[in-house]
Amino acid sequence: MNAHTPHRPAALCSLVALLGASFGCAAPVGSINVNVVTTACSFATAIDLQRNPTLGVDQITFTITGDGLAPITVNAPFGSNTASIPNVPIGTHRRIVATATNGGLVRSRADSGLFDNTGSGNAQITLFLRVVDAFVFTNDSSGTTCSHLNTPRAGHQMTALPDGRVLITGGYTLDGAGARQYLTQAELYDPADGTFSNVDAPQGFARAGHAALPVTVGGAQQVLLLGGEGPSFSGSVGPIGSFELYNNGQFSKIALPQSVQSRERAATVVDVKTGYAVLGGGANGPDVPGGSLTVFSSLAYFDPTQSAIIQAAQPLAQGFADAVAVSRKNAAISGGTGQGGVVFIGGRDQNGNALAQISGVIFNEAQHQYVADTTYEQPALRTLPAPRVQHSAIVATDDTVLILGGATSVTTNYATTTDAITVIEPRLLTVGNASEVLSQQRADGCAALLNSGEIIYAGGAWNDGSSLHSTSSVDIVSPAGVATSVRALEGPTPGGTWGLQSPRHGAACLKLADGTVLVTGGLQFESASGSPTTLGSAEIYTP
Amino acid sequence: MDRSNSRYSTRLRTLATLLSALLALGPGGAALAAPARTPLVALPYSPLPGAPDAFALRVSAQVFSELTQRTTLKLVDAPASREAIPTTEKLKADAEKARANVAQQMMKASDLSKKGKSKQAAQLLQKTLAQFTAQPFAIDEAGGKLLGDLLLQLAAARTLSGDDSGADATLNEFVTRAPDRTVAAGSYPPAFVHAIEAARQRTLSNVRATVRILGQQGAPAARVLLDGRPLGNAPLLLTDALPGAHALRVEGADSAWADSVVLVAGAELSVMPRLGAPGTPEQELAGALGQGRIDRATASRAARLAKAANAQATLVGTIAREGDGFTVRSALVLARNEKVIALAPLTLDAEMLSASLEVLRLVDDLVAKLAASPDGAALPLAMGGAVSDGAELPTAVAAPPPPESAVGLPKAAEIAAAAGAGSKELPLPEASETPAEHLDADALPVRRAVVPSAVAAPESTTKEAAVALAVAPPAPVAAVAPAPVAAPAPAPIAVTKPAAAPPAVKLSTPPEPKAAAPAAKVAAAAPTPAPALTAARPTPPAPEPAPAQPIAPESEPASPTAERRVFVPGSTPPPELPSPARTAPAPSKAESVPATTEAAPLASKNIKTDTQPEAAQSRDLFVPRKATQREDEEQQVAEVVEPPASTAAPFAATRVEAREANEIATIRDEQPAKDHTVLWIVAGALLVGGAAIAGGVVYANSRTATISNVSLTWSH
Repeated sequence: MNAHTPHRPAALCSLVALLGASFGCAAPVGSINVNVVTTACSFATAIDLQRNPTLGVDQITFTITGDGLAPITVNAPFGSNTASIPNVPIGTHRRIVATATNGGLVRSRADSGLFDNTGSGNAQITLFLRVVDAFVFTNDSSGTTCSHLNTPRAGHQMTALPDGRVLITGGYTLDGAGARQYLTQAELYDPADGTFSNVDAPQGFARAGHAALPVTVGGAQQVLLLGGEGPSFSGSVGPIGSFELYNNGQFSKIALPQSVQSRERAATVVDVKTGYAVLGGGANGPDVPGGSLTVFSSLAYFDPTQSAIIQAAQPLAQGFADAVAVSRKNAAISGGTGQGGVVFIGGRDQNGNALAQISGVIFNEAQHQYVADTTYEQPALRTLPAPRVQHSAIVATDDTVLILGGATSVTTNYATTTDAITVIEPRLLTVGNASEVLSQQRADGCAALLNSGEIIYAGGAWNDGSSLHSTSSVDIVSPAGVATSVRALEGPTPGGTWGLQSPRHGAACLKLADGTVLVTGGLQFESASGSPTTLGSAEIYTP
Repeated sequence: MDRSNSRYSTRLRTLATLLSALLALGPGGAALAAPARTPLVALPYSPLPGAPDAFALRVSAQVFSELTQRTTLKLVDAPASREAIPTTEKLKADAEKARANVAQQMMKASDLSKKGKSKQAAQLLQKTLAQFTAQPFAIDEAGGKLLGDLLLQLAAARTLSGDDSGADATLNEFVTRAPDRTVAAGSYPPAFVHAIEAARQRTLSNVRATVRILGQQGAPAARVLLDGRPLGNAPLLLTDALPGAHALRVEGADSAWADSVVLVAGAELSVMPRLGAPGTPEQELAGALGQGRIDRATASRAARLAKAANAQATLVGTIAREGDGFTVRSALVLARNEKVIALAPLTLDAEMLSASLEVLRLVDDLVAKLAASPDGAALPLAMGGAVSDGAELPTAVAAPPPPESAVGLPKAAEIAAAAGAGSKELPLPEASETPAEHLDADALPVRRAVVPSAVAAPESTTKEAAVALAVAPPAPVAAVAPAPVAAPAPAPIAVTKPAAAPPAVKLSTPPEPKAAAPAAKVAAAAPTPAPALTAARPTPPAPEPAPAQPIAPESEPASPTAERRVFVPGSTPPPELPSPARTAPAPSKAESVPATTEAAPLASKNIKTDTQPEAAQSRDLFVPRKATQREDEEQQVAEVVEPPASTAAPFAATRVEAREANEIATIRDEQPAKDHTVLWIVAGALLVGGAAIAGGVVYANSRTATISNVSLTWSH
């Protein structure tokens, strides 16, 4: 037998196989089916009718963008109910934006957020057309049903997850007697379908007024829960010292070192340069305005690379509670190799007095520890124009720090709320109030930085001299140092005055991946009794 | 009872004093008053249930009389003062003080925790817990609540300090001592509440212990509290008590009794509380003896009594009804070292017909042992005491039932589970009078029953071999030993309590497992003087002789260089190969390979074949050549040692030799044509398969879209 003869059948077989495989090789075309939800869920009032995203709309424009993709835009008459964008190359970071216009004036907008089009299967996307520059209640894909928190809550936190969903943790709900029931049930908001769902696993600790910070542990983004108050190991409500990590639907406890004190009302933030979750000051005592309490001057941080909580060797210059912490990306030790930087603003001292303090720490790489940021030890940068508590602070895109609203003394009745916007400019070594003020004096509002660089400050509480009120006021702040400007929400029509659909304070605000801002829960003073109730509603702001 | 005790005690003391005086006044008085007399405190004999007080009084009088007649002994009175021994009033005061101290320490610990010093708080609470539980008298209802709070706070402090295992252990104790206690979901962090619930599940699944609280004849109702939880009135039988340390307290109308007890899973503890008005140290000691045993506390109390009286020892004893007669058990407790020396028991009839002789014998024994000071008996020392049948006692629920998952466990398995795997020490009851109990091997789970062997200790037959606790082989042992699982016969697993065992349960490994043993047998008997249990645990069985495992060539390198050497004509002939490889038919290819490799040192030119290309480390050129005639002969040998053709490359069996280049072609031409059909078919199939796979990949890739159509729909 010739040893080479089998080559022929083998080659033949291969050829047949290749030919067979070549059948059906014609490249298929993927499909992305986009459903545009065009209704708002609540039309209870006349003003709600104004939130109809398609009121007067005559045209709708779709624009798709993405990596390596020149923007593709398609216009369609709104009455056509359908449009298509053919032959869109597959790729990453695709985004579809729908803009509905009324005589050329943008009425509403929808944004898919970023997604990857891999070409396999048929993608389904829901776009929620929402009136621009306004808050509307969140709704599900039916368009007619408002979605809301499964459990009304205040003092909770929202954290964006890598998949675009939002983790809502902790908080409390007020029972019929007005007592706080601290929550372990976390929820997830999914912008893709506008719904809220409970996280299956409960938190290990019920806590409110805590922090829920995104940290990267082992290459995966997780959420670190720390601080706050709730049922404690003393058998009563107290500070929660335990740290928890949320990952893939599960909460796991992190052991707290002996050196780290249990505390509540600490100032917390993720250092944008180091990625450490920093925990400064705080208190361990009853929340009695005007009363004395034990405040801490210690600093601890969570190092995600070690999954460890570390007590900083160097304490803060002074102890405080209820300060607000922000992280500046440009902070640096002059002449040193420091990186990262955290600024602590305002708060209260051990006597319950509001503080005007500004202090900072910076991570010194050489010493591998946090040290005092001497920038804020300079007289010009050391104090705010007035004490501040129950305020919000945001780092603007120019790395200045804006402090919004709040109160100038610690009271339970919001008697000393302020409308001031204070700007800290570390590079210029200046601290001062902007010439423009918020539309209304208030405290316990919430703030978020918009993609435009503007800051939205929503809700809050105030006292008209005779009774307490929650406000629906929303301000859009354009940072520009002392020239910072403020405007109210105008809605789709210039000159309009819009706000939250539900007045609230103590709510949680978070900017989502598509640039909208989600506001959930909070408290609302009932107009009749003045007593607060916890809210379950959620609203979303479309820039 | 206490009043009668007191009465006849006083009478006896008077009688003894009179006798002493009479003897001292007699002719031999001077001699009797010789300085060599050993001071001795003699307590009235304690009648155990069933023994009449009057009989005890008569026996005591007889013994006292004999004692006073001995020239080497001097009976002394026990001190009237109660300073030496805690009295009931003092215990009451101490209890109040202890509870106040606990509350104070808990506050201190709370402050420490608030300051973040949880570890220090835990240490403080642990110390407080130890002090508190050492005072069982303090654990009444309020004390029980306080104890629960203390344990919870300790668990919380341990959790906060990162000592999760310590917290779990504390929560186990919390559930053990307060199984009815619930913790409101909102009062503690949910994680902690869950941990408590987990501890509850764990602990309630434990095999239970039995406590028999005996009542005194004619005694008024007395309330029984276990760790402060009222369970009913004595006498009482608790069959579902959770094993572990407990505070047992019995409260009468105006008196109380308390003791610390350690309950062992599957074992029974009998307790005879002695209530009454605050009594003398003697009475309290008599009460302790009424439990039918001398434990460490009782011994210590008796020794202190002797010390307080400046005596060398205290004589204590019990009288128990046995059959138609009575057994008198006596013991000496030395003041110096609290050593307990058992004396010869007496058997008396109800009329005490032979009492004089027996008492004489007893006192002789006493004198001899007091002089010789022999080794003390192991504690607790059984002093007899038949107890009432459990069936006669009302039962009470000591703890909630186990979770459903644990209810159906066979008892032997439960005991085995309780005993745990490996060698460990278990706490023992102070006294256990569990009757002999046999568990059927059939009740054992199969995986335990088939563990090959254990040495069966002799079965206890006497009362002295009191507690024989059966311990089935620990599950992990059986679980990790696959070979024994297949063994056909169940193993005997009998554990008894040797008389001289150390005071702890030790699970020991028998030296030689016995394979074919009868069914597992569990024996239980009554308590012995030796408080230890030795449980035989089978050694993880030795695997059965495994059949010879083929040795894979790749796992058994032939030589350090993993080279295969061949012989070249003209080289030194190879020595004879080991006979198994040469003569016997090769049982497997694996066996032939090492035989071949044995020849490695014989290589002459270190030329390697490519039969094991992965092992070859040389890049030498291997050239085939024709074998010489001599080599043909040798080849017959070599072929034996070569691996089978199925594992060899095409030239594996070919002898090779370096030759001049012009000879190579000739050699190749001489090669016989080989049929490679199979090879080519295989190669072809591989090729076709590869092509098919490649085609599939191409096809699959072709199905991934490179473009998409976006369809947009809305309503208006």
